[in-house]
Amino acid sequence: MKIKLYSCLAMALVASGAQAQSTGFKVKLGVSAIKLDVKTPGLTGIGVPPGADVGVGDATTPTLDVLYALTPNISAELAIGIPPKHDTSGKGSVAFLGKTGSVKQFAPTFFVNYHFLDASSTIRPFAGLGVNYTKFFDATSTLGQDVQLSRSIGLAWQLGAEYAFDKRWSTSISVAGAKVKSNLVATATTVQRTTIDFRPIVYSVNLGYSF
Amino acid sequence: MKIIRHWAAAGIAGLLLSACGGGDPTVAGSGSPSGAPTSKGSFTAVVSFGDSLSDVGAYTPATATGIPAAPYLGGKFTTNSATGTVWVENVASNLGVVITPAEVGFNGASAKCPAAATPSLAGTCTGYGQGGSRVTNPAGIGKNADGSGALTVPMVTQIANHLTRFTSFKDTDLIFVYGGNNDAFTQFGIFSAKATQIQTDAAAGKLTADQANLALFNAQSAAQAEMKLAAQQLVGYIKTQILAKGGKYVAVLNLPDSTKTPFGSTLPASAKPVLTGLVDVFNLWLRDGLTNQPVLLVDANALVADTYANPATYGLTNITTPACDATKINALTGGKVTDGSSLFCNSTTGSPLNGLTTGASVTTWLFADGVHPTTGGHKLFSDAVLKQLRTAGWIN
Repeated sequence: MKIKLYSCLAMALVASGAQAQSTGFKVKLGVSAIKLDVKTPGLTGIGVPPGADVGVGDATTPTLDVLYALTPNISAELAIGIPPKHDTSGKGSVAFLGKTGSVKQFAPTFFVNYHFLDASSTIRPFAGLGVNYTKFFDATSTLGQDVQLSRSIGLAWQLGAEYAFDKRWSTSISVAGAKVKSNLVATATTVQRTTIDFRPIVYSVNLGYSF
Repeated sequence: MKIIRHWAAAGIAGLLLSACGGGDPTVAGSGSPSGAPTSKGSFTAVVSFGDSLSDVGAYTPATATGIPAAPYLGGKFTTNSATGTVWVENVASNLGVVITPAEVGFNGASAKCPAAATPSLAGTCTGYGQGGSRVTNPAGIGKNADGSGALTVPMVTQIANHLTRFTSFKDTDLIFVYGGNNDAFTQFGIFSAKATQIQTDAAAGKLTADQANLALFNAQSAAQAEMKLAAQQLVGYIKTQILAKGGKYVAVLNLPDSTKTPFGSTLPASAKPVLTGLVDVFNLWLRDGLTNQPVLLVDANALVADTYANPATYGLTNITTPACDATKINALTGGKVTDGSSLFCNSTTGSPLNGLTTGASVTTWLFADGVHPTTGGHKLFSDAVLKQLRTAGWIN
């Protein structure tokens, strides 16, 4: 996925060198704070006490967005981040366990955005709707568990505003959310299972460059 | 007491119910055995490995009233009498096969295959189950550190002894593997001792509530790990020492939940789920290890649970009180047996050796002592096992 993007980016750069006119491509680099509001039906399995639950912590990560303007008001966007690491913990009746491990996630998200106001406006709010794909990997456990989380595909949305410094450079802020739901199977001496609804809200600040 | 958490076993029922065929490869224990014979066997022997529930008389000499001579009070962990048979014997007699103890003795002295004194019975001593036996550890329940007490030959050695005597398993052997209960009791005992210490420390302020909970969690996890190990070891013996040595008709029984026994009912409510969990962990890894193995996995846990849930259906009127009278057994053994163990419980009507509680029935009461079934209880169990063998197509 990354390689494809980079080659796409390179092509865009080449294209921008060859043509004086805007290609419609924009690249954004930024930082995203991922706030989770995890909800589960509780952990089940042999020896699991009633009220046992898992918590997943927040994370912050650098992000890369590639936008392509389909029309002056509509853009397609692919957002990816460097896979962040989220801490996991015992919650509810097993809160005494504290931190129980960590998991990384790679979550490319595709948006179709609507940009309000005229293309020449300095400040342009935008709203996007799209699809998030999240893959979990490198799960670790201090309890010696083999932890597997199923991949998730779900709706994503975002709201934001962009401030243009000039024709090339801009900055933007956004808030995004997605439906990220995954089945967890943790295996050690017992098999423990739950379904985690991550309910992420992602706050981003970006610096953009148009080609 | 507050710090003891209730470690319930919620997931396993769902796991077992959903398990059919290959199962979900990411979920341990969600598969099933496959490839066991579907044809009828021509059985000439019932070969049984296990513990007290399958013991056909290993410790009979210890119950002698005229030590070491007859008469014997008992010898099996049930309501003993001329007709007081255990489930393995019932299955054998149903097939027209004789089964006798593979080894008989006590206090470190034993004789292998005593039935061979009658040459025609030399092939019948295939009842290896002994009270107190564990899967691998020879230090079973009732065996003292100095080697005195119960023999408790572990299942790994029971199987090895069979191979020593008979070289291999035969197509005509109906093989039962039913053990692990004593591993559960042993691990539960270790956990309980740790839990008591943790609670004492917490009460004395040496541990915070969180520290105490973590210590309990770790103690329980350690016990579960031992049960997983025991199950995986047993699976290993089944594969390499039974199936690979010619075993064709191999029925493996999982463990029932001992918290529903009279012994279990004496446990504190906070401790019961721990014991249930240990049994469930064993059953989980037993099933996991036997996935796609050519054995018949008998869900003894479910069979026994159904008996507890529907006693009247099974003609039971009492499933909570031991039929054997601890006071009578204490007197009959000259004060040597104080816990009312059914090994010493004679149910012969009119006999001066009779140790039954007045009014108790060996057929409508389920339990002989804290954990072992009466003659009637064994009959119900063997009926259920026979039904499964019939369903599998192994017997008529």
